[in-house]
Amino acid sequence: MADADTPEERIDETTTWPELAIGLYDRLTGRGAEISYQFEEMEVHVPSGTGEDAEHAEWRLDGTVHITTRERE
Amino acid sequence: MAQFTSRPESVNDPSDTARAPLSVATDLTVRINGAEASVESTGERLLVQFRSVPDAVRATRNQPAGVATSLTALLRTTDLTVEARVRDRIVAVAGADARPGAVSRMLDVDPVEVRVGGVLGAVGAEMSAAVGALSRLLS
Repeated sequence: MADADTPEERIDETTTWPELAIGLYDRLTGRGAEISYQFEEMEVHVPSGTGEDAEHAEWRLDGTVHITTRERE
Repeated sequence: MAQFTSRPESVNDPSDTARAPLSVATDLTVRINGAEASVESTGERLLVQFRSVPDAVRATRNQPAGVATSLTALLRTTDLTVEARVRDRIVAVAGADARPGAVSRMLDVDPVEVRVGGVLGAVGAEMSAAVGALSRLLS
């Protein structure tokens, strides 16, 4: 991960899922904050690859997800 | 609403230290390639419950290459574990508490842990349900 100064910069510069999670953690932790996502029949077609002939997995989400941080031990 | 709490102490590999332990609460339904699953969190695990073995298999189709590895990296960083179930049997585990073995390597799904007993139990339960339905139909 790049040596960004703030959690916001870290999230902006992420290139992997773990980096995104760490940026999210840094942004949320210590503030008692919570991120809530509400999906209403959200449909996503995830390509299996980058080529034109890539197959697509169809994802449909409905419901809620709430994310908070825990203390590191 | 279901509540999931991650456990930093469950990670054994220092390189996989949970640098961003998160807690996730869900009330969610997902449908992947037409296969519906409920996503709940009880205790320490995030539970993805499929209705049948064919549904669980269908959900794995056409996923991006390397998705299991990427997902595992995310789950270990956040110290989360995802448990896939069919008919209340655990068939696969991914993330912080997954312990992939020879079966996972043989099926080329490592780092996802495959629970052979759970798969057999789910298939048996499915066959039993089918036989029961057939019996009711014929009686």
